[in-house]
Amino acid sequence: MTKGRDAKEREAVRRIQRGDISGLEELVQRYQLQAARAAYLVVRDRGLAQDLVQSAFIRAFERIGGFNAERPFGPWFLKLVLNDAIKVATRRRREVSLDNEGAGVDSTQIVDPSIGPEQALEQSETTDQVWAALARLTPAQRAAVVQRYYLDLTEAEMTAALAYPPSTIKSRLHAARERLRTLLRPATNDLEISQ
Amino acid sequence: MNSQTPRVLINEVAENAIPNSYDGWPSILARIEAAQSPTRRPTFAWRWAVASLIAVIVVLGAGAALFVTTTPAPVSAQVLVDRASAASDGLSNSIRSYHITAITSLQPADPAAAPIVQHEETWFNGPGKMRQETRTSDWSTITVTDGAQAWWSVTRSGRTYVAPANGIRFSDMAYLNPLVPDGTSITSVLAFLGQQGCGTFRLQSDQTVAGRDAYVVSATHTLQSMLDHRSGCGNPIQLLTAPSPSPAPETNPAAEATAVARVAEKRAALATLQPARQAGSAKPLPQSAAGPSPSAVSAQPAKPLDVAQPSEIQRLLSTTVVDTFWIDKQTFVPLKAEQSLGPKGTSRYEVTSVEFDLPIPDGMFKFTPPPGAEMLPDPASLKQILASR
Repeated sequence: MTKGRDAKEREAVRRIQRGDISGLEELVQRYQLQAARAAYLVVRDRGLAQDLVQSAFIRAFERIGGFNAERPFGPWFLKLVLNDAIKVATRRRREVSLDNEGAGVDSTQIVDPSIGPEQALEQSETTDQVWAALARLTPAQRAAVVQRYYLDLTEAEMTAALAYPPSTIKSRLHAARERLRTLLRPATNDLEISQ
Repeated sequence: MNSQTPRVLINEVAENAIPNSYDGWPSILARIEAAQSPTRRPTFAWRWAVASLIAVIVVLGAGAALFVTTTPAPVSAQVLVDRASAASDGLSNSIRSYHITAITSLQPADPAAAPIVQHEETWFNGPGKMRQETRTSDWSTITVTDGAQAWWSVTRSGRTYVAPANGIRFSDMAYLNPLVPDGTSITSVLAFLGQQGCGTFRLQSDQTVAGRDAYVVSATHTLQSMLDHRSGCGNPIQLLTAPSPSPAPETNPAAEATAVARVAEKRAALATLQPARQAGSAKPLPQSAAGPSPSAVSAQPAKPLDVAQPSEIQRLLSTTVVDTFWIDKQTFVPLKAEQSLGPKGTSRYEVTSVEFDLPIPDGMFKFTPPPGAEMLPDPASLKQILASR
């Protein structure tokens, strides 16, 4: 993020704190796409992801009075979104498990639940394989993958932005990578997941 | 597939689902305007009708109040836990600042055994700024962060050890406490319950703590529920690692069994203090000095649970844990907590005084290591030092 971008963002936050809603619009335009896609990868439901992000912006708008404008807005906001997404996905997984119903473009549409992940991957297309593999991760592990591979945060940035201890980030990533490797191995023997 | 990295594929999946043309601003604006717009004003006749109805309700309500002393609050227990978790993690939007004094006591199951008592004082001044000081008769700690830098300082036997603790969440501050095993502090447990959404929550009658009205929420959960995917409680390895900077665990069935046992061990960790305390206390100590010193604990390290025994794992899995929280009705700050550790005893946290929205100088959230302090590179190193000396 450039210094100019930082300054514009700080000014947008200050405008919201003064009651000027145009500041929020600027932040929405800046972060909504990234946030909605990140949330989607965790909750796996387009409508739900969009609703989560809209609610998160409204909550950020309500909380902005106590927000330090010198801090970057993006990491703070994405933390709100991802935490909400983890909670929703965790509860939703229970409901789906009980009802045997998926929502949106869920892996249940591309993976026969009666067969193992290895066979399912062999029958899937490229992005489907990753999508299905992500489905086998827990929501928190998916969030760790999203932070690392979609939001392009380094482990240090994840630590700083999300205020998790470094070892928590590493252990979540480690667990996620190992499960991804296991799930993808039959179809992608030489797939490299960068460390 | 082989030539593409997961990063590219994940981006492709995300972009296919949420196209660049997506714009949620109109919906956000509409929702904000709907929330801010005044309700439609009733007509004159309707106003009289509404006013009369309100008057009747007030009279009936006043009459009912003569017979009903407490009524259940119209809120969800799960929502309360979520909001209390946010408040204790420094994310509340209902408070600008607070100063709290509190006592944490760890009562072993043996009622004759003296509790371990720790006095705590916490200052919070908006997101990112918190200072917490704890003291027992054997040591004192300071954990302070101004949002940019965080420090952990422990003074014991006249020596002070200091480590930077950047990246530590408020809810992880229990990790920086020699007395409270990580995972058993109120902030850590609230964060765990809030994030994982597991357990059975029950809202009880309101009570008063430190002169403030409080919701009372009890949460009942078992370790088995952490393994049950239908419970929505997630992977026990995450539960293990989320509250504290633990070493990265291996992800294989044997490691998962170990992790489950270690989760149980965390919740029962207070019991591991007990043998050391008994062994180290040749004569009765006054209540405030009854806690073990870190050296006493380290001199007789806790015996690890025998996770290789299936019966032991099964016993741990079936352990039911009940946590009760008293949550301030106005700010959602936790005022009191009791955690049952089953046969191991109970842990109690209680606020003794609290003041909200007071001015706190920024200097309170700065920290300069005192001369002669031993500097360590990170909290884990400091913990190792405490355990080894």
